[in-house]
Amino acid sequence: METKQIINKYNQLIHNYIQQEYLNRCIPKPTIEEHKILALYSLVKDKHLHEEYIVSALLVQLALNTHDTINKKSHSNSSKNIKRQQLTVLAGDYYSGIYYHLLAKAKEVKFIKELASAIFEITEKKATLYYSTYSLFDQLLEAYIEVDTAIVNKVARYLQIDKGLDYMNDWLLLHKLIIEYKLVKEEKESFFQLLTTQNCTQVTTLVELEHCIHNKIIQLREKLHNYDQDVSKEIDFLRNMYHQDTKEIVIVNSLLEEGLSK
Amino acid sequence: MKLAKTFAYIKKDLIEMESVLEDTIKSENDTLHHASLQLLKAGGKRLRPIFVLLASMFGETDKQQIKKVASALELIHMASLVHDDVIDDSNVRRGAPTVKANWDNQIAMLTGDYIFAKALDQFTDIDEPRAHQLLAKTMMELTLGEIEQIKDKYNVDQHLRLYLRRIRRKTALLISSSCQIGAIVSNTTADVERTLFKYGYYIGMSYQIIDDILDFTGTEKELGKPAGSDLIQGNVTLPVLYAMEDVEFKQQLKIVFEQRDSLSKQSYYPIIEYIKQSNAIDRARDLSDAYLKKAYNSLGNLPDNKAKKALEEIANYIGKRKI
Repeated sequence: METKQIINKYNQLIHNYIQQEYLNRCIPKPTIEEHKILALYSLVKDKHLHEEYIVSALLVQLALNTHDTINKKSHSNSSKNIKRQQLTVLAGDYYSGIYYHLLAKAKEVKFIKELASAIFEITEKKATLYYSTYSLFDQLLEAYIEVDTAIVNKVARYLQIDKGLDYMNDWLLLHKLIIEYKLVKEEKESFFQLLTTQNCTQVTTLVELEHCIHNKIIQLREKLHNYDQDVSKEIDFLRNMYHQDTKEIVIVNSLLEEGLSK
Repeated sequence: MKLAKTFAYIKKDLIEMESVLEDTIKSENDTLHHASLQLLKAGGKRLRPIFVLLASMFGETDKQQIKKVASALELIHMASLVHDDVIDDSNVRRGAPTVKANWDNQIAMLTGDYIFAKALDQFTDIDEPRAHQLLAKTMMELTLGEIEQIKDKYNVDQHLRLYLRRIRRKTALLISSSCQIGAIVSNTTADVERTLFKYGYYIGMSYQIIDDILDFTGTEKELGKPAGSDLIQGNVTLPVLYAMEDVEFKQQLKIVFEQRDSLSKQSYYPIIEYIKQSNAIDRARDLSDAYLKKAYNSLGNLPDNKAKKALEEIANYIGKRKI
């Protein structure tokens, strides 16, 4: 299957699962991270029940990402904003419920347990990350990426795929940073921006953040390009997808290329 | 734990389950650990674990497994409460500060997710797909019930069926599932399992109706929040539905709801007072009693044992409860 087809298929599947009339009407449609679809697809595409594995792992990710958007303090007096916050809490809970339901129907009790342990490990790490101050961007990024890639890593370990996980994690970080770079350039807010500018003394403005992300992207691209370690066939699939033509990966777009050529 | 005094023979199991709960929520992160522990120590009736334990006594009980199931169901209930406090912006629960009040919304969200995941981790030690399918479906319904509650807020054009469907999802299903899962895990007969599910459902419906009555009749000290709080939050519960049969009252409530952004809480006081003085409370209690009667009657199908007696006592307790 082509990269675009994979992304479209799982985007559509997830949106079918989370379809709920009132949530659709009142809160923004959640964003499914396309690079995670591709990473999960690479890991499980040859397994029995691969569709259930990919969808349930993405639902857990979506649930946790959704809950991250809840404001620390409830300070809005507008009924519309209050309702939006209330429904965002419930949307995250609903996505978690769907993940459990999907795997329970497939009788995949062990995989339910694996993802449950990913959730509590992630929440523990988040509770530290979100309330700590880091002096350097790289330090914060190291803690952040551990949280951000935890579910994909959990799936890899569950399937006993270990060779080349460092490649996969750098690949995931690169694509996350590409998205964040694009958001900064387009002056759109993100949770990552808020976290870095509040918790990292090296990055207090969006201009500084843009600069740090830019440097890190260049560094990661070079690192991935020169990667010469042995990798499992699953990670090799991901690597080939990356090497074929980065432009094929939807999220690497011309805007980024412009930004990098400055 | 008050209920446990009425049937001493499961008291030991409940105490042991408390320590399972405490062990399960232990976290390497201090904040999550303290937030979860605070929630646990705030107490609660432990109704769901009690139902699991009692239901399991109609089959072949593996005590270790049952304690895991019982504690997992209590943890799922706790996780939903900590998120509910963010939804309702509540600073007090059971007379104590909520997690969101002691820390903030983000910690409350993380705590809820953490407890939920710990519950699932615990529950997946039970390799019984049917129990997982039932609990998963229940959890989805529970959330849908809460979404419906938000959708129906401040809407005076509601009917009884909508209210009953909402409380079925929001409260009754987790209680009926606790009974049924207790039965599934202890391999009871299909008839016993069905009876326990029905009993739990009727008890759960009655329980929520009484909760909705107490919101008007309880004191601030008893409730841990001001009387009428649900109405002030826009929730149209059974007493309000009955009171709205008076068209003048319904019109008055509609106006207050429409102007809610510019009104103080005091504006609701005459409305709350009207509901308390009307026959709406008695009628709501009659419906709760009808559910309790159904719960009693359903028990007739079960073999006579101590657990059956205890289930009858719980129905009694629920009918008379003040908090």
